[in-house]
Amino acid sequence: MDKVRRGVLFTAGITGMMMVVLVFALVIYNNAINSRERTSEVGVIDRVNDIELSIKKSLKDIFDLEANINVTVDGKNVIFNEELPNDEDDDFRDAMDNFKAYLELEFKENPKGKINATKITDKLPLTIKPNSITYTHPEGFGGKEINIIPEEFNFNAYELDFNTKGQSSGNLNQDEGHICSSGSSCIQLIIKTNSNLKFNESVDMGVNNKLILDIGGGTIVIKIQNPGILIIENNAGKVEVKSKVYLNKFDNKRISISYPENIIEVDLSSLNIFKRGTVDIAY
Amino acid sequence: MRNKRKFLNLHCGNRGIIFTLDTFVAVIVFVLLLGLSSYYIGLSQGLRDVDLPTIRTGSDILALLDHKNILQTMNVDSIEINRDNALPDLYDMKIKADCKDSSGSSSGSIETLEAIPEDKFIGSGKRVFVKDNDNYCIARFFIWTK
Repeated sequence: MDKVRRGVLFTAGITGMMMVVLVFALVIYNNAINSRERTSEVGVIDRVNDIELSIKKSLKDIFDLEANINVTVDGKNVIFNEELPNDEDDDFRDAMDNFKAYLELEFKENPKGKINATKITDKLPLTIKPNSITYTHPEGFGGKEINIIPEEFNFNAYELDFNTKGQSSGNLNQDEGHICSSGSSCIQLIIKTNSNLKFNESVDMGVNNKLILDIGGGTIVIKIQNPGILIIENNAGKVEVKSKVYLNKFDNKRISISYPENIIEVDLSSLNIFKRGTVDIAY
Repeated sequence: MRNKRKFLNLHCGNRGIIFTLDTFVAVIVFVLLLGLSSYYIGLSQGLRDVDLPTIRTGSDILALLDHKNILQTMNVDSIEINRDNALPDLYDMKIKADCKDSSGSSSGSIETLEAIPEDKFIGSGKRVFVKDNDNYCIARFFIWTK
């Protein structure tokens, strides 16, 4: 009887062990199914990311090819170089619109790609990050005005150099000016024509300032409004404006110049993936 | 009667048959469970069919060719040379690119010469690029292990 009991126990033990092995195998199988689903999703997310990055690079290439604005980051300072008025506005708009049409045709669904081109082509605003200072064209890209709009006094100086392209350079008249010596709104303003210094003073940028520069038969009006908003209005012939913004340090954060937020949208509804992004023009 | 009782009480020479039957049933159960386990583990191995490192390698190579403005040349020789310089020996890769101009008409396409095998995992992906101010293209890659 004892031997029979031992035999039954042995059989039950072996069966139990095999059941455990079978359960492990089922667990491995189940995990493999889950793992495959996750891996496939990661793969799809990678592909969506690739497409988004390539769209960003394409938009940057179009800017470099067509916008006729040279943007450089020089250490902690940013330099914009642009003709005023900028004659390339129509070419830039056409290129952006054509690329938008191409992209939205090629990526109709899964993923669906979209570009908010009018956010760019209308006034071509470029944002300096992390300072949130916007370089823009309030009359429309191709107009006679450039604005540099900070949200606070988080910059050290403005330096403007006007290449008059052969036009004579006359006097700089301070129509309304507030020279200062200290204070958070007391910020240096440097104005040059053809690299020759015309003005180098600390100005109270918390109040209105207005300077008028004679160029050829016309004038360039430079206004400053609280909080340090710089307005350049060209009423003369075409000039090349080099605008340098000296920036405060932000804990060694990388400085970048980008289009407005949410310019690009990539939507993969089948996996509930929706990405929005912008494009870094320079960094 | 005594013989029958002995038979039923397992006191005589019938133990071999019972032992054999017992062993037979035990082996069947053992093999069945082991077979099922092996089957599911085998299925698990077969489910690992998405090779992310391979796809990512292809994606990186295509991005590199884009950032070095090699794709923009639409020159097959140049694309093949630069691709082979960067591609690990473990892989083979085919690249196709199709361009359209602003009117939506095809403005050129290229394709490297590799034949895509039918019996291997093929990783693929695509990216959009600007060839020049009037031509926009999509490049596709297909990558597999040699």
